[in-house]
Amino acid sequence: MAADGSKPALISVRQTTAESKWAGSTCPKCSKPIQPGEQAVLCPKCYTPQHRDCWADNGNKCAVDGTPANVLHRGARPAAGAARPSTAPAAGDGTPAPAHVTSTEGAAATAEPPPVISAPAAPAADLAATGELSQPAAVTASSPAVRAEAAVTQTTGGPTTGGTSRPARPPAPAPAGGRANGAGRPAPARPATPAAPGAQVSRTAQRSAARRSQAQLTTWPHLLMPEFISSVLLIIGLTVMAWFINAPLEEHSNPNRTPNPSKAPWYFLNLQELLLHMHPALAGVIIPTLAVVLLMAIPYLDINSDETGVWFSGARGRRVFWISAIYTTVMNLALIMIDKVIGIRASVETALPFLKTAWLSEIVTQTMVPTAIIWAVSVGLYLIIAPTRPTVREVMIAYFTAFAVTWVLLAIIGSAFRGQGMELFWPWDRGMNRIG
Amino acid sequence: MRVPTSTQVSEFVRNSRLWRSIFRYSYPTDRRNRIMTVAKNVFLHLHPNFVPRGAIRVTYTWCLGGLSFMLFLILTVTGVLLMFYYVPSVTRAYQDIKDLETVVTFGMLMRNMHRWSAHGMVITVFLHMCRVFYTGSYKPPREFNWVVGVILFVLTLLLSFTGYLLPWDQLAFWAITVGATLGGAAPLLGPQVNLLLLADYEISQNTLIRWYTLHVIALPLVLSLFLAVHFWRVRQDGGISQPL
Ligand code: HEM
Ligand SMILES: [Zn+2]
Ligand SMILES: [Zn+2]
Repeated sequence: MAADGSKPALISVRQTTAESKWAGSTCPKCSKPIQPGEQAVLCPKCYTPQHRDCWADNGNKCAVDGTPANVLHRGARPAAGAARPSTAPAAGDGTPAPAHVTSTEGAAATAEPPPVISAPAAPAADLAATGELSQPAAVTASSPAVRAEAAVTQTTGGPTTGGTSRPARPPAPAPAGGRANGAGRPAPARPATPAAPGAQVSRTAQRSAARRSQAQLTTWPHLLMPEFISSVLLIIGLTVMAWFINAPLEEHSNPNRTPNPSKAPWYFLNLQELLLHMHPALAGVIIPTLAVVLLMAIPYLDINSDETGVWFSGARGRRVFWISAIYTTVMNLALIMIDKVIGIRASVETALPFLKTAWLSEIVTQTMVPTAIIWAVSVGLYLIIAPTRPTVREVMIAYFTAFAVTWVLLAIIGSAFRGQGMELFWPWDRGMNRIG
Repeated sequence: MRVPTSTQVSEFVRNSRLWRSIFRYSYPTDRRNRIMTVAKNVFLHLHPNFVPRGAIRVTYTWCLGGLSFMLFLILTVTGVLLMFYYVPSVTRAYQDIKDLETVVTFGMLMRNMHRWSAHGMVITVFLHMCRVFYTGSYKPPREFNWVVGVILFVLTLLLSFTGYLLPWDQLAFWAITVGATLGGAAPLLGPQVNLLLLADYEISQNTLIRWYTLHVIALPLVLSLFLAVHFWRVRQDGGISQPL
């Protein structure tokens, strides 16, 4: 990524404890095991644990696949709570001996091969008992070649038990999988004051451990079956719908007879709604272009990979989502009603009579005023969430939600609530055109 | 003569040279064959051989990317069937659609499926984008795939929009009039953009052929190209995102 000029990811430092899943695994850079007490980082792409210093020595890149990422400094403390028995993942709980987990990135035929573990007898039994790790084969390998080979033995029908003994099980949420996705995770509410670094480490370490202990299932049938079923359901549903509901076809086009109202397709009715309130250049070109550019910019503004893979990045993000969704809905509806009742254009022209010149009035009322309102409403959104000291991710959630809610809301208003002359009507009112 | 049992028939078929020349691996019931079946099949090898348990939870992806792709495939198939009957000429287009609805066997069904899939795809792609956003799946190393995704979103809208004109009825004509007015409002370049969109000063035969070509060839090709990049990148970036 860095090669194309974008900023690399940010990853946090993890304090290795005896309970850490990666404790004892081999660092791909220096080929030494990562010992409890040492600082480690996980590659955001292949998840291979490596020494924090080795990561830096390697030019802040993964020693396995070269993924660049800068190390976040907050939270890098001796982790008092890093692996409190109560919060540590089930596997390895209370076992003093470290389990050795080695990622097998780069195995010949596999994109993401299962973790190959080498573990002293007791923890191995422990891990097997959690049902998440298939694996007795004790392999500790350091060179990629050996590791790749190990992975092949592992995956091509070696004396594995876990993987082959569970094929028939449907891909139901497993305990560790559930935890990894944050669904049932205890709310990681962060206090407004900077969180205790220990807690931070604990949360990410816990999640990464849960992730790494997830079973790697074979694509056939665990992924293909759901894909197949959803495709079949889609085709059936679509056929039934197409059988009973006909696509609209009105009379032959007639350039001399303008229907009232004339509407764009529904997914552009949001832009057509904007058109009612501001200059066409703003509504039809500038705002959509800006929206697309800003959408594309999101991952280059929010570069902290730590919160990947968790819905709303946890309870705080979910709160921001709701705040933004409600705020955006209220603001959109309020602005539409205000423009309908008092007519922003007319009132500005009355208030500032010197604007009577047509072109000047157009610039002010159709361009400057709407721009100022949009700007003010956007800043307002930030001010509302600002007291909670939002992270970059939370700011992104606020603004993406504002975009998505506006897009949907205005499309609904345009389709169902705009009738003759693009005036507002209740959907059950007369004067409506068909929506299809 | 003894009637062969179904097992015997199936054994015979499966052991025939023809069958074995097509299917190299037996029905995959064991781990090795499951991997090989996926890795060695041109259609299936888009997938990784393994997926982490969390990545295939339906409540994680809601299948939305897959459904978008499926809708794209359905649109391609039904679209080809519609193309057999539809002529992009202002004198014929409308009547061809009418014929499709009344004369052509299953023509109505094909047209309906094409129409509803097109609407459906706009919805699933939008929801897929929301899923990717709210799970933070755009974060590095997936930044560029998000950008590709935004392009796919725009292309999906354009495909849907160009198709909207083709029935040449009042709905189509005036929706496109409104849409083209939106584009024609570009600052400075407004008239040029309008001309680019309509290929004329008003919606005419030139517009129809331009939008038809974009709709049936140009945009689908470009979309397929970006889809290929999109799928490739999903795998290059380490598979479906998972918590670090
Ligand atoms: C034609 C439209 C599209 C199709 C057919 C498509 C298809 C897919 C598929 C099949 C996946 C695999 C995971 C899943 O199903 O969720 C995926 C992942 C992804 N898509 Fe799309 N997509 C489309 C549009 C988009 C858009 C509009 C965006 C965002 C703006 C996007 C961004 C991504 C990203 C970042 C991933 C990786 C997600 C992860 O690792 O969790 N895609 N896409
Ligand atoms: Zn090292
Ligand atoms: Zn890596």
